[in-house]
Amino acid sequence: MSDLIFVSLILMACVTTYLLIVGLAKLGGVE
Amino acid sequence: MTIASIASSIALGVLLLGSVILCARPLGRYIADVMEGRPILALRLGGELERALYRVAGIDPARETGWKQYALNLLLFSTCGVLFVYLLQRVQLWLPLNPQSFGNVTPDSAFNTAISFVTNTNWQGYAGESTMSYLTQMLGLAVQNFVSAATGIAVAIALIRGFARHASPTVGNFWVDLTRSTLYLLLPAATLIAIVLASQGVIQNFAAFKDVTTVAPTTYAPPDEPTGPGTNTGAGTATLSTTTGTQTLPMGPVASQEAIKELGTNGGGFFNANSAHPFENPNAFTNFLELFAILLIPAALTFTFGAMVGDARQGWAILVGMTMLFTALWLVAASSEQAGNPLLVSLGVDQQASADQSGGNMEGKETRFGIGASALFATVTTATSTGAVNSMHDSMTPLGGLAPMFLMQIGEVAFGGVGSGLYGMLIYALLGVFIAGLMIGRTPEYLGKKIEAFDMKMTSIAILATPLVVLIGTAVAVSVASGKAGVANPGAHGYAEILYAFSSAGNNNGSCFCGLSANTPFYNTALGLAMWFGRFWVLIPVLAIAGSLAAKKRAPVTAGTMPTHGPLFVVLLMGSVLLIGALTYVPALALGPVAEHLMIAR
Repeated sequence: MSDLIFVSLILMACVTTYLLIVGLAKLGGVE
Repeated sequence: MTIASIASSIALGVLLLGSVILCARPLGRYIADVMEGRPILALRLGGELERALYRVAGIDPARETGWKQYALNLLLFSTCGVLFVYLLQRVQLWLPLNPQSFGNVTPDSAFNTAISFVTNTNWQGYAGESTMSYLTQMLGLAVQNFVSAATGIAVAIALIRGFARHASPTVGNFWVDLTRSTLYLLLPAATLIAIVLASQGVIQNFAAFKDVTTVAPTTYAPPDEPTGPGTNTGAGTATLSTTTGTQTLPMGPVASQEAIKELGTNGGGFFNANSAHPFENPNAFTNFLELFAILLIPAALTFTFGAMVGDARQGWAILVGMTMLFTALWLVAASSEQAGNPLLVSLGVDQQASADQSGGNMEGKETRFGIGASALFATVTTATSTGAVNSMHDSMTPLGGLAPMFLMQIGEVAFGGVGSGLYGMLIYALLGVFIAGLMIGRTPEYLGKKIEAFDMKMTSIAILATPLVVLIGTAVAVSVASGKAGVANPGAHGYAEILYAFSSAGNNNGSCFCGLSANTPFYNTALGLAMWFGRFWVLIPVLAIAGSLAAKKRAPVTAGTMPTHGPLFVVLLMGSVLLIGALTYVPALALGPVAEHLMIAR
């Protein structure tokens, strides 16, 4: 159960950062 | 003797900085050649191996990408690294190279440690010699020591390309940058340093821990006694409970990990005592070598920057700014520690340096290193993103401890982590030219690239992300019971322990005021997230700036162009760093080390 929580946290941090990359790319128009 | 003691401390620092700068220049040019793929001897020798690695991984080394794909590749690589290190710790009991049969690491500690090593932080909530198997140390932690450093170098090189290229849609190939910095720089240099360290007594073996007979019996209190090392009876005597004539010496493949620990500005010790442990750092020479290894690549990258943008003076300006910031805070730390603790003066304690002692505040320091080498190590490790320690920072005087904490809080830009120091300083350079542009009414430019709205938005995110993580994390920790539970010293110092922890995690340093008991689910989770966001929410906007700059044309130099290689620019650069650092952190520091200093100085 704890493993599920912490692996989910890792994936959540990764997805948040992915969204940052996509968001900044759209903001700047330079990819 | 006090003057002699201060003079020897200064001589040590000057010798260190001189040696580093001397060696950094050729190394910086070498790094530029390697990262640009020029046909130098090293690339010809390792070319076959490099190409074989690309073939196995299915990488086309000739295919460069824009910043977005570069960042996505980096994120994918780092996420896989975190998941792998997490899994390795959770199953280490059933894997080989575990002679002490250490159990699987708890989920919260594994989470913290996995993020810690992937982000180049190397914060350690655990004690290495009682937690990690040799396999976990080598395959999990030491591998990340290499690749997290290589990731930092890759991002710095991508940003340099942003300045150096004209109207280019690409910033490089992440996989090639990662491979080359590992293969041609980190691996050979770390191997050389590991051999030298082993020759000086740093251990390197796979043996089980050894029980040895001590010269004299030792009496001590077991660690689970609530009263700690000895119970004061109130009559000036201590009741100690256990006497033993044996001691267990931990073993392991230390030298190989120690070398990259310093060279890659990682800092995670094989042992809990880190570089204060004689098996990690046996003597004055290894201490100097470790300091040298920490500063070498961050300093060299300024010369790489100069070489790749085609103007060595630009690299020198950054290096001078870094050195001056470093020197100022090193002198604060060294003089504060040499001055000692004013409260002890009233107790009649002799804190004067003499032929028999270092004098000053020796609590938490090794007598073989003394004040000078300890204060210098504390400054070097926090000026970079290393976090290795040869003394206990929690025992430093309030102002002595403030200096390392502030060095982290300004973003570890003097000299900074491997790669992260340079890209952090270049972000401040962009801020500096922007402020100068506002003052003189011109569109700001740096190296011929116009700094426009998008670049400044990214600069703002890169500069503000870490303070948000540090200050919000500290505020939460001092507000909740599980945060306050870890504090060893209530009051201003306890608050400083928490502020230091989040400053260290958010800036990917890894050192601690280790009175804080941080191996708890709360701190393991909170600091783990702080390390992740402190790393990637800075690194991603930096790559966005790299992409934006690379796409721009270079504007010609005119009479109105502000020179960025002279003393004025250096002052502007340092002013930007100190201004942002002071505005962000002075209120927080006032509640911790400043308040503590005023309390003991009354």
